[in-house]
Amino acid sequence: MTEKDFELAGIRTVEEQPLRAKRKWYKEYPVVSMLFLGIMIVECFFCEQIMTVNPTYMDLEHCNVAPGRKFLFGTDTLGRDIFSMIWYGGRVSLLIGFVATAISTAIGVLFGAVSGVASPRADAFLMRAVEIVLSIPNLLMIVLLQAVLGGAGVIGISIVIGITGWMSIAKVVRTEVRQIRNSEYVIASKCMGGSFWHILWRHFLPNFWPSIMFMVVMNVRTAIVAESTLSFMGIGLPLEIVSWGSMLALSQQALMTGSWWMILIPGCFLIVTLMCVTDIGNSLRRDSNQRQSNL
Amino acid sequence: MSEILIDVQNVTHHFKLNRKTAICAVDQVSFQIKKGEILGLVGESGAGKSTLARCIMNLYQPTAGRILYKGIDTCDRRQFKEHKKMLQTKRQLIFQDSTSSINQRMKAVDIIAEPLRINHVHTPRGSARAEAEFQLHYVGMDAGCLDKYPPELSGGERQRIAIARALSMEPELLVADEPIASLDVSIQAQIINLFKHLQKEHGFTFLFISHDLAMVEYLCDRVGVMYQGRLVELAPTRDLFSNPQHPYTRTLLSAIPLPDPKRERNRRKGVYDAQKS
Repeated sequence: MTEKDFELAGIRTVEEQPLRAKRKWYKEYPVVSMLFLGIMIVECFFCEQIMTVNPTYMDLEHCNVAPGRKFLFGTDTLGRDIFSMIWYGGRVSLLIGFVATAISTAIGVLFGAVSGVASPRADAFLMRAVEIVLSIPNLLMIVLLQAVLGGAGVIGISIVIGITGWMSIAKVVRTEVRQIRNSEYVIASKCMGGSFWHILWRHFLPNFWPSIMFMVVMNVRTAIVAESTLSFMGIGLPLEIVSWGSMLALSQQALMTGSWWMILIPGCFLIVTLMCVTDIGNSLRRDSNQRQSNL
Repeated sequence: MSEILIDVQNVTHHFKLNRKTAICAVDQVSFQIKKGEILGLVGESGAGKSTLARCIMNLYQPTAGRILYKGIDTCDRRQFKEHKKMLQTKRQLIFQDSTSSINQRMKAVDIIAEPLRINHVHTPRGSARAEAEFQLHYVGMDAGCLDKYPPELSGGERQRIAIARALSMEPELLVADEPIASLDVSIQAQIINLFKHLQKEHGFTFLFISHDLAMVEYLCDRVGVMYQGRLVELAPTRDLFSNPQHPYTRTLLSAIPLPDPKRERNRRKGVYDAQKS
């Protein structure tokens, strides 16, 4: 009889597993994306220091020059230096991205919160209104608004993109607010005399912020894409305002002359920026989901 | 002491279930609370205690009846609006469940100072933070908890924060809607003693709602018994516990377990039948 026979059924020796090492801090954040986006933003912000020549100056002696020592990324058909234009135009593109997002978030949060605290009938009315607006294709609406508003500047186009992109945020905010609005701390706050703004800012916003964070970040991406789409189609920013979109608009001519750098370089910058934003958005979503399950 | 602070006159509240049926949660209730008094309100679940409290705090509009607070009819829209600020600062409510009555994403400081911020009150202790710290000391917690979030605190501490929030406005009327029901017994005793101490120092009027008879007997000056929306008995605590008039009150008191096991075995539990009496 070995010792093994005395082992009781059901008792198993559990092999001790060494505790998994704590995750490194840099694994919790999308470091690469943040770094790239950070560099992009900083360089666009300080573009005056980086630019080698004036990006709007048309050097007619050097049209269509391939990337080389003098022109790092080459020049376009009008003889403008693409390296300088990238930073200069990036400033405009990012600005549009952030301003449009700020506008759409503000409208979405406000509309959603009002709809969330409204009476059932008013709420139904507001939400059907949102659905009607949502059913119109986004691009169509932007084009229409653009036509109504006339000649677009940077701020004008941000507003147009901003007021066409708030619907999905409003819907999420409305659902969240409807859940929170009957909780006791909101009732207590009302009892103390808290106004709608106070409750929105102090109680609603911190509670639904994690769930719209992802959408807000994604709105930056949507706005940048919308701007470049519009500019590419020739109804966005005029050619003399440099942005990544209006640079891509030049690619129609570039394709014929076979100058790849005119399409590839602004396109690459655009894609890298969008990927960084998407990555950050995704990790934010993962993070907030995790934190909610921890509670 | 004899001045009447709140006068509840024939208050009735119906909850509409659908177009045809309505539930009568509070039925023709009248009572007065004197200034500086602790009034207990007991009754089984669904007796309408919380509904009554919420009517008093203007969270529900009573279907009928009047509630006078210092002679102001709080159920009247116009009079309420006229004295809105005073009513909102001088009457405070403490909820049953501290987990849901304080925002989980706010720090203790912000929770306690919230009414101060809303009403733009300049406190005698300077900043809102100093005031929050003072109130926290007052309810028996130290300043280390100021920057903590509610999930990091225990249930008793959370309830203390809710109490501190209510006290930070220095109310005249404090309505506590089952403030101890969600706590365990040792914490219940702490909170009750805290209430007793605070009431002695502040002198606020206190409407204490509970279904724990022992706590009510210990804390309150007068006790009201509610049954199916009606206030069946209202008497000073000693009279009520020694000489209950209403059969329901007698039944309720007979449900208190006795500490002596021999007497407990012989204890006769009454059953109250509303149809019979």
